[in-house]
Amino acid sequence: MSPIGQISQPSLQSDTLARGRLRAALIPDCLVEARRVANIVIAGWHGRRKRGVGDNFWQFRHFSDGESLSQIDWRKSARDEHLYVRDKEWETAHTVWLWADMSPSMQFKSDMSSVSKESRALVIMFALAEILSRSGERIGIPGIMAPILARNGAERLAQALMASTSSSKSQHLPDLASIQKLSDVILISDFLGDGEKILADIAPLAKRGSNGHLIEVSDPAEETFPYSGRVVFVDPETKMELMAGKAANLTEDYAKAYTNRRLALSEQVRRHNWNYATHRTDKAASDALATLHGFLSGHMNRAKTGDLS
Amino acid sequence: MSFLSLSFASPLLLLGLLALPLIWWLNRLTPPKPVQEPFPPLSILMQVLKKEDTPTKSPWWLTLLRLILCAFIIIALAEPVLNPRKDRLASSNPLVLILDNSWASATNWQLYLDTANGLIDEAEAKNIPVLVTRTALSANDLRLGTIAEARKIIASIEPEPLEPFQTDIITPIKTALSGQSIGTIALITNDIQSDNTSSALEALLTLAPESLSIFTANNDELAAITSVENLSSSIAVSIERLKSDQATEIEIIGYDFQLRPLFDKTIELTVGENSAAPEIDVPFELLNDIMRISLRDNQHAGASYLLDDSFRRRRIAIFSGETLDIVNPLLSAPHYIRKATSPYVDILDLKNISLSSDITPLLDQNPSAIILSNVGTLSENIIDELSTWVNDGGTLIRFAGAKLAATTDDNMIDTLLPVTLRQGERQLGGSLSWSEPKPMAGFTSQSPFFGIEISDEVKINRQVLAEPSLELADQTWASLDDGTPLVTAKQSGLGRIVLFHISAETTWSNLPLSGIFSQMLRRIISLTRASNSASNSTSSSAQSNAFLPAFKSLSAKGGLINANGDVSPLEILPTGAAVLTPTTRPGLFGTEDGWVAVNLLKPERTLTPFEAPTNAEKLATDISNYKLENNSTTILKPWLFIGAFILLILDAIIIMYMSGLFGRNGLSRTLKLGATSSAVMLAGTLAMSIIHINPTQAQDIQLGDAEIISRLEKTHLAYVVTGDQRLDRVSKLGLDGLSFYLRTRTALEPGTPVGLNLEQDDLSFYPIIYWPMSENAPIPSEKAIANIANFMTSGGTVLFDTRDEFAEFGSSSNTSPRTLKLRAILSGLDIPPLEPVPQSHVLTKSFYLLDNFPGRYATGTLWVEAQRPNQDEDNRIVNAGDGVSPIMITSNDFAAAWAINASRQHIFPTVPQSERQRVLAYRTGINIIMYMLTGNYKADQVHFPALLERLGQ
Repeated sequence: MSPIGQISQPSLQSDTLARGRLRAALIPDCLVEARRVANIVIAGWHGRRKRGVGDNFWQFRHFSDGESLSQIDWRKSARDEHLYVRDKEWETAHTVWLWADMSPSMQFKSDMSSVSKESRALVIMFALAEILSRSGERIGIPGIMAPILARNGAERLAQALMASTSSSKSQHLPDLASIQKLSDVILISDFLGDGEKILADIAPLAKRGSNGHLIEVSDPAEETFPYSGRVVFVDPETKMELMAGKAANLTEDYAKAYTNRRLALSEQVRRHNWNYATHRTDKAASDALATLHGFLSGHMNRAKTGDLS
Repeated sequence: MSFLSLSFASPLLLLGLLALPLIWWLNRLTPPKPVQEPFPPLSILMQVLKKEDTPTKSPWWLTLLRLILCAFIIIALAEPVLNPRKDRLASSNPLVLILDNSWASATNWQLYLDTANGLIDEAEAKNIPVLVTRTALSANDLRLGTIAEARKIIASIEPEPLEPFQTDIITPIKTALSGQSIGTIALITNDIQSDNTSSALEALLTLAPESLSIFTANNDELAAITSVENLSSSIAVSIERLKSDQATEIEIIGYDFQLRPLFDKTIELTVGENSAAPEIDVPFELLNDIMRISLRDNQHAGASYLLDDSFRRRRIAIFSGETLDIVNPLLSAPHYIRKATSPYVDILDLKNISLSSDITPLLDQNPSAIILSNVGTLSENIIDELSTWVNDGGTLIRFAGAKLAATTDDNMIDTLLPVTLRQGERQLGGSLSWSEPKPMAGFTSQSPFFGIEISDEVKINRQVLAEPSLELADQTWASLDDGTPLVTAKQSGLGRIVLFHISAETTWSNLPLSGIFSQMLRRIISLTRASNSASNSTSSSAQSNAFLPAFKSLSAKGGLINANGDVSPLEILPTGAAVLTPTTRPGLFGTEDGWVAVNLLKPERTLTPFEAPTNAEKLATDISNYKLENNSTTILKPWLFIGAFILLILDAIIIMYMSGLFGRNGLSRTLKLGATSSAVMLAGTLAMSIIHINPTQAQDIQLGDAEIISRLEKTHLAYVVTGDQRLDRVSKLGLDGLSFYLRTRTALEPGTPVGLNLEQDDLSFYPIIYWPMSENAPIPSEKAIANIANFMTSGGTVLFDTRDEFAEFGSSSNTSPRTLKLRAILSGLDIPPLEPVPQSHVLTKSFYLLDNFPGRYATGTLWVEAQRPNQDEDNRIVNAGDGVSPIMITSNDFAAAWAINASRQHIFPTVPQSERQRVLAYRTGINIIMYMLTGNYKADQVHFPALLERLGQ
């Protein structure tokens, strides 16, 4: 009798050369998958739809006093007696910080879903990177890659990940101190670590005015608890063991505890005016992207939970 | 140790139950092995899990289940027995066990053995010596023995198909006990009273045992056959049954010697009816075949009744004089005879027996009838043997035919024919005859055929005619419309000779196609004596008593088994009556060819229930009666083990369930694993079995095979070595020349010619044998003639060459010595009618088109077997005589014409000298060889254009 869940091979590890190769083999797969997902989502991805600094023409309007003369479009103004100003669409290059959790707990995959949590997290991150860099945003990984503006942002991101030597073994969030204010932060993890610590980490950022979006990736087995009989549960990070005599009896209580914890965490996060969304690995990755798009373009009510599951 | 009718063979083992608490304690310590699962949200689970209580212990009911399982095994090992036997032995004085092994005990013999063993068990417990004896075939040297000996004796006792108490059983018991007083006499018997039962019981009581226990079995259903009477067209079976308190059905089955059931009749016996004697209608023919009559569902010797020799099946032998039989077996006379007779006779295998050689081996088999179909000439000694055999009681049935019609030998007609025949046959309805084909006249009341209905459709075209005589009318069994005899018969000694004036196939009449033919043959054969029966052969031998060896014995179950050496032979008085002693075992005595049946029950025997003696008769003895029933002890050990096993499986299922095996995918994975392992095991077994296959043994080559193969590889022409050296050299050179010519002109490439010694060589390799006549050569021996006759009847051809150009074969005047020699040789052979080769014969066109067949001389005629007249097809180009003429006779000296020397020059000039004649001589040879090898192929080829036209090609 084989167990329901298993710890899959880490998608990213830089311990040894062999692991590096393994990661190098996986990342293109994730990239390709991410590009596919990005193509699905990009159709609904639009500009900011307001006047501002940018390259694209937005509208002509009448010159009002006080505005810089250099903004007058003389060619247009010469046609009649009014002065016109040529407005551009607002296209400020925005900085978006991306981060995916690659701790051992993320390597969990049950036979109810086809990919591990880590793999899904990477796909979402790369897809996001692809979309954002196509639309001209600056993307970076806290602690690994400084924000860059490039068309091939996703590839650059992947290369940086592969080259990075700092493997994140813990569930701790990365060092977010370097993040300037008014940038977006997207954190993808299972957030199974200490909830207080997570909140403590994001609090200073929120105070500085950054927008944050937390995507919780979970395995179906973690939610539904399909275990029965005598089972020894092992934590993949701490290696702690826990024996359940009749695991089936626990299902109800566990599910309740799990939901409560999630609700509490999301409530706390939202209190910082950040977004919190959940994603299950048996769902399509594009679902998570669509939610994120909603967050980023601000169409969605920020106070409302974007629950995809 | 026994309580509540439950006893234990080894009660000490029950102490093992004390170990159950220990098992309970151990069981609680070892919970089922858990599954390991990685689980990241462990911290959440940890909050929940605190509430759960004692997860490491098995549930109480599982522990209870295991405790019960252990208790089952411990109790089973203690060998508990339900319903132990009660105390039935009186004291510690010896036990005398009398086992009734007479015929009626056979139905439920195991019960007897069980009871006997139970008593011995009891005696063993009490340490009492036991004496075992039996009621049928009791032994004289009894011994008061130990328990082990008694068990051995009981195991060796089997039910016998005999009546009980036929011999004195009291005296041996007295001798064996030598004065000791008897504790208990236990008589285990069936509940049938025999003639000697009451006297035997009284004698037992005189032994003054302390108690007499009588165990009687239940034989309510028992029925037996006491006698079978053979009425003319039916048989009466007398049936007795033991108890008449309920109605029952009894099925009577008759078997033949091969155990085929021949009839099956169910009779009903009402309440109060103890016996019945139903008459069973059995077809006349089947009546003879019945050998044993049995009652179904009665598995004892009394339910089988054996019948004697008079019911035997007849055996006949069929001879045919025609060689065509081999070529066209389905058109031949023997085929019709065989088909008409085979349902009710056995036809003897005639391998290695032919009329031309010795028929003694056949007569040794005692056939009831010998049928000769179209046999003309017989050699002297055969005639003698047949006559003797007929006088001794054999029946000779002859059919006419072309050969018989052509036979001129008067001697034989007198001896082996019922009437004198005119030579030649009478043809009705032919082109030269005014008359129409004749129907048969009705059978007269004197005829054995009386009663058979004749049909108008039967028409006789040809027949042989009898010379009119005074006795002719008396000898006639069947005649035609116009009064000419069709079947005649003559009593000859004890036997009979019957002649059908027609042939047994369809060219002479269509009688063989009708059912009348079969019925007539059946009537004749039923008239024949069964065979030389066993009693006949003994009665003829001497006036003293004769002994018949046992042939088959009736088994206790009522079946027939081959007699073993134990069965003493049956003594037959000179009057023919058998001496029956009480120990004569029922069965068949004699040989396969004839036997006397001895049956178990006498006709006057009735079945009455057993009467136990009452206490009033002998006060000293305590008499108790028991019923022999199958409610005896039950051994619980296997059931407990089965229960424990079921619990074990249940436990395994529960454990699998508890460890979550039946969750999602779990079961299918387990099944997959099981399938894989069983597939591996299967493959292993297969591999093992393949390894163990023995290499096939090469067949060893027999000596002489090489020679046979060299003869068969090529076709060889053969000639007879006559002893005349010059002649033999010419024959060899002549066949050499013909072989050379065949090689150059035809596709046939014959090997070197072979000279044959007719007495020693195997002739069957050669299609044709050239046999030149020489006045100097000695007459061939009997054996050589027999060989040649065999060769001819099995499809070979002999080419006789008299080499006398002017004195031709067939012309009675001016016969040359060579022709005389040929006649001398042919007189010993069965030669078909001959004719000169007609223009329509295949020989004229088998390779070259020829109209005469010259050799060294041109004028001689070539004679072949006369073809059958085909009246309808006179206009055919070729008469397709099926088969090949077994004989050719020429006077043209073929070999001399063909002969060439080493330089391929002709040795002899032709007469008259002509190269054309030489060429024609070779062509004749080629035609003959082709005719031999291809048969009627050429004759069929003339239809080739017609066939093509029909096919539209």
